[in-house]
Amino acid sequence: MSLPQVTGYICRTCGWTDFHPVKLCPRCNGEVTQTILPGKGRIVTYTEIRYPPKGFENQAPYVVAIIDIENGPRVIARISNSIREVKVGSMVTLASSKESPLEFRLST
Amino acid sequence: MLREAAVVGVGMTPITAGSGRNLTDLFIEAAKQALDDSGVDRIDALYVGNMMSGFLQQQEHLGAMMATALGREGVPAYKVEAACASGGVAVNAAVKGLLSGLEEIVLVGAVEKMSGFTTPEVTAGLMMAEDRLKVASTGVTFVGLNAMIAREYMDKYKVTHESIAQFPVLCHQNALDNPKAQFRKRIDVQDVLRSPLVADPLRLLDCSGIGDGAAAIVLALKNVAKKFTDSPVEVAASTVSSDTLSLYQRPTITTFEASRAAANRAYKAAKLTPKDVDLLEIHDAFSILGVMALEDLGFADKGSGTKLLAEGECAREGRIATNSFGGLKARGHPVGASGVYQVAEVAVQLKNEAGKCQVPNAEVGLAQSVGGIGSTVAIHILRGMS
Repeated sequence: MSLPQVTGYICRTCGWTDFHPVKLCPRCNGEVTQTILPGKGRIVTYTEIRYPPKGFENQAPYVVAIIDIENGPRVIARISNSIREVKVGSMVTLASSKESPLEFRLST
Repeated sequence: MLREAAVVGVGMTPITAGSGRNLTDLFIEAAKQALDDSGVDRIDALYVGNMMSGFLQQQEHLGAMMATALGREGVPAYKVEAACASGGVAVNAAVKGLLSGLEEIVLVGAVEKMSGFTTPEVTAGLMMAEDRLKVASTGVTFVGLNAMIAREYMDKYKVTHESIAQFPVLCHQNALDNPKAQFRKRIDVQDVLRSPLVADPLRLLDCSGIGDGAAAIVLALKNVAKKFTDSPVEVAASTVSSDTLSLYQRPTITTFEASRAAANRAYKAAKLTPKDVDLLEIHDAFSILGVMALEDLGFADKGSGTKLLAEGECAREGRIATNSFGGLKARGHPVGASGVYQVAEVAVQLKNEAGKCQVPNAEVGLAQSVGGIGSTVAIHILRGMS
């Protein structure tokens, strides 16, 4: 079984990286190429949405976190675990192949 | 001679939810108040701040719309949008119009109508200030983004929620004396901590509410202003800075760099330092933002903003009177209009016309208007001239 991966974008000139698809680097105007990042990271901060926007009513409550991808950019993603299990610094693994939104779960 | 701008008139509607009033009705009330207050006989341009009229009311083109409603069709008229900083950025655009020399007297008004919609609808509308594909797609809300900042802030600086909750308590205290405020009810720290969780760790009383309102100011070049008023309030600085649209794109989330940058440029332009500032109107859409603003604007070191609150320094009689009319939390936060309320309130204070909300001996005031998650920040520094 192949490990889940995150599609990232990295500037060949200055190393700028994001998970937004862009053609030119916003920092140095250098060429940006698509890269495959490990689907692993660490939770920087998180919250649980109890009052969701229109379109998400049936999903609440759910956890959203900012995650530092291993050797990659910072991303925002859903976490499939309950908030009671999540901590700052928790390691997470990509849980779905969907690109938008990214979804992670706590690493086992 | 260098051109300088001054505030010569202000107008503000009360902020309410469920008023049944429409955008034009609200805008005209504030605009006419400001025009009457100033005594000007003409305006050379109209600037209208608003965030969500397209999404909520299916109405755009507010520049020409409000010019028409005022019977001023013919003037250059602009709608200015920068999410919750729409009002602050509209004031900045108007000041630029004056300083360019193309205009001598301008009206800036801002309006937002948020009531009459479900909370999920308004929540979705506010998310238009963030990236739709990468951020809004997660289902995060603006409360949620601020909750993530609050969690990191409390963790990094070992600050308790109790300490941060002093900010909404102060705002509710100040709003008791403001007849136009939306929430005129005293609360204490325990009320904040016991209110329902909205997005962990932020609770209902950490958050500003949903309301309708409009505010307006008349600005004129200083030499023209003197014809209409004996006590114009000088715009000593007007700056705007931007940051990444999305919170996740920043290495540090417990400081708003746009706030620091806009404030530093404003202090330099006004030849002032934070020590010279007597009063602040800051963008406390969420309790954590009030605390961070005290730090980012230069009044406290990072992590120690709550100490100013604990020591009473932010009260009206304190060293740096903060949100003297109740701020976004208690005066109310009709999002695109808040930035103009703030500048109007600072001007009223510096003219010594704030009634029960009056800050004693205030000469210099600063207003901070934040758009999105710190992605746009407008700073105005005003100085009394009497």
